Amino acid sequence: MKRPILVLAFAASLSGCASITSQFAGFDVTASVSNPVTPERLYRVEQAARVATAGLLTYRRLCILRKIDQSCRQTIASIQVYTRRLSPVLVSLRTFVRANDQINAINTFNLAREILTEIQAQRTAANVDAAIGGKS
Amino acid sequence: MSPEVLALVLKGLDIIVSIASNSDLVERAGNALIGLLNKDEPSQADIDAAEVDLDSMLAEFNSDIPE
Repeated sequence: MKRPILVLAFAASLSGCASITSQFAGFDVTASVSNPVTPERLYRVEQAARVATAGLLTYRRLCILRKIDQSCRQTIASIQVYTRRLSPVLVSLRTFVRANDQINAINTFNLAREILTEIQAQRTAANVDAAIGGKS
Repeated sequence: MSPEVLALVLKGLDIIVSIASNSDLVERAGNALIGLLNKDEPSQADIDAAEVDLDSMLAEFNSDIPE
């Protein structure tokens, strides 16, 4: 049972974070007063981000090992512009959610959502998923 | 099994073969997906573990690529 789950996990990670987040995490809609950022919602978003980041890390490791086209270095640098912005935003978001400071939590959640959307766009434009999946 | 699920499994198998050296990522992504699929409310320990792992993964991705 464990193996099919792992297989599906990686398939999901390579199909991009957008579909995962929209299906499981409620990240397809912006946060608002009527749609607040609960601890459970944040947890599910972070789980989806873990799956998506596993795909990015695979790409990075293959790039360092020179097993994929070396244009990957520029692609990674482009994506890092956004992933480096994401880390402190997530830290702030966790703090606001724990304090149930919904005004700041909603604003920060929506900022994180914008950053993740941009990461997904960069990933798609650079065919990151194809580069990983097509390598054997 | 639906065609969509079968397609995912086949793609996943192809990927597993290609990333055999990254078994840690297979396990971490698998754990995250299990967390997503679990309908129960996550415990604080689950939340903490997910945060630590996501931070760790982002830190690795964000580090400079060696020449």
